[in-house]
Amino acid sequence: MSDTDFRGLFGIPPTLFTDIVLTVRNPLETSVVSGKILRMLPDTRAVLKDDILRTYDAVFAWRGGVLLVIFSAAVFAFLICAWDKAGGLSHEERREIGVLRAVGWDTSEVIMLKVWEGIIISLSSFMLGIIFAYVHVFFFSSTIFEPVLKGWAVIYPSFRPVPAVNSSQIAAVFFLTVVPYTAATIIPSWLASTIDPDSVIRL
Amino acid sequence: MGYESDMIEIRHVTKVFNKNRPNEFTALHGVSLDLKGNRAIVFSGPSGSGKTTLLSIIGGMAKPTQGRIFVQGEEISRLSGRFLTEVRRRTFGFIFQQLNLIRGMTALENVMLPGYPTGERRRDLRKRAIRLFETLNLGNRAEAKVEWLSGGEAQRVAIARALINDPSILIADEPTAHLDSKLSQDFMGIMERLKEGGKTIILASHDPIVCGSRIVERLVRMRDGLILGQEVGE
Repeated sequence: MSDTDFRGLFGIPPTLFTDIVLTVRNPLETSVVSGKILRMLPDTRAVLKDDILRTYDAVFAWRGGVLLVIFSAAVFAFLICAWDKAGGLSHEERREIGVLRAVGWDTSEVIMLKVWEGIIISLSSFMLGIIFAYVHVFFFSSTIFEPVLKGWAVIYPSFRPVPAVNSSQIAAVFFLTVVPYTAATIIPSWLASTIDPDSVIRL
Repeated sequence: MGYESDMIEIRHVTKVFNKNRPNEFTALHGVSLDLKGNRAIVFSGPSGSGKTTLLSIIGGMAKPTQGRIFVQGEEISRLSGRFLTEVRRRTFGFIFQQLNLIRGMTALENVMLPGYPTGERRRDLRKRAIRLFETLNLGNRAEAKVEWLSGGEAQRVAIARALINDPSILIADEPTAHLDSKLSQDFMGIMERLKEGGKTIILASHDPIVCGSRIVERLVRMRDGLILGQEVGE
């Protein structure tokens, strides 16, 4: 719809404007131009682009910070788990491997057991996480993150996320969690299963 | 069934722990011994005499630093880890001093553990394990977590685990160390039945109930990694 048609339809006189965007060629001159406008038209409000950016920063930066803190905590928790696994086995785990070796399990069988154990733990955690996230976002409209995601600029529109699964993102999460965790379980298990079962049991 | 010729031959076995380190320790000094099949043998001696180390070497759980071990005519001291595991799986059943049952698992699952690598069907393995539970009067404890078993029950679960692959040789290290006199006698009763069934029983103990048991045909006294003497029964 053209400007003329719109004004004709709603009965708005051609001299009435509600919002005017003004581009200033020299950015250093914007505050001077804004001051002049306010002096000439005292019933108007001049908003600079920098002001808008500052407002958005003030409104959204802390929300991003909250998400970052939550995400960092999750990443650190995962790294601690993986590091703990890779750093070595507990006394109880070493004893268990020693028992398995003593009762006739081969090194490769022990490693396979540990690989499967790691896969089952990490894969079930991964699947639970994905299912929880899907249910939270698409069945409960992301109750926890809703205030962060909506912001003040979208108060009026309804907030209804459309179900969508991004396979590349899921693959990225899979390769960043399941694979490293499983790998972290193999090396210490292999080290424990290659020594004499006798020395493991004496621990 | 019993193996009438020398089932186990131990030739000049020496075991050194932490070799070439400041804490080097020689647990066995050139031990030689022949053990016949279908017998009950006890290695007796104080703590640190080398009896547990000797049991470990006989059972293929540790390798001697020097010397040779023959089991049923096959030299096991030079076998690679994989073949040694195979010998351990089919020939030996172990009962550890600490029992070493795996917590968090049921008694039945613990007993079935040595059978998994044999490739036997899980259903058959389970049947065999349940039969062992019945033989050892543990029928109602199969599904109990091992941490809830009494000392005597845990001991019998450990015996069942040692027997699941039907080994010809049963090795037990200080099996009565944590049992009272009654349970110790019960344990020796079970060993007697197993020996009558054709098993070779090798025990390490300084418990008078074990050393003085009527089923023991040979008592080997050890000290400081050496054999001091032997008493041969009937």
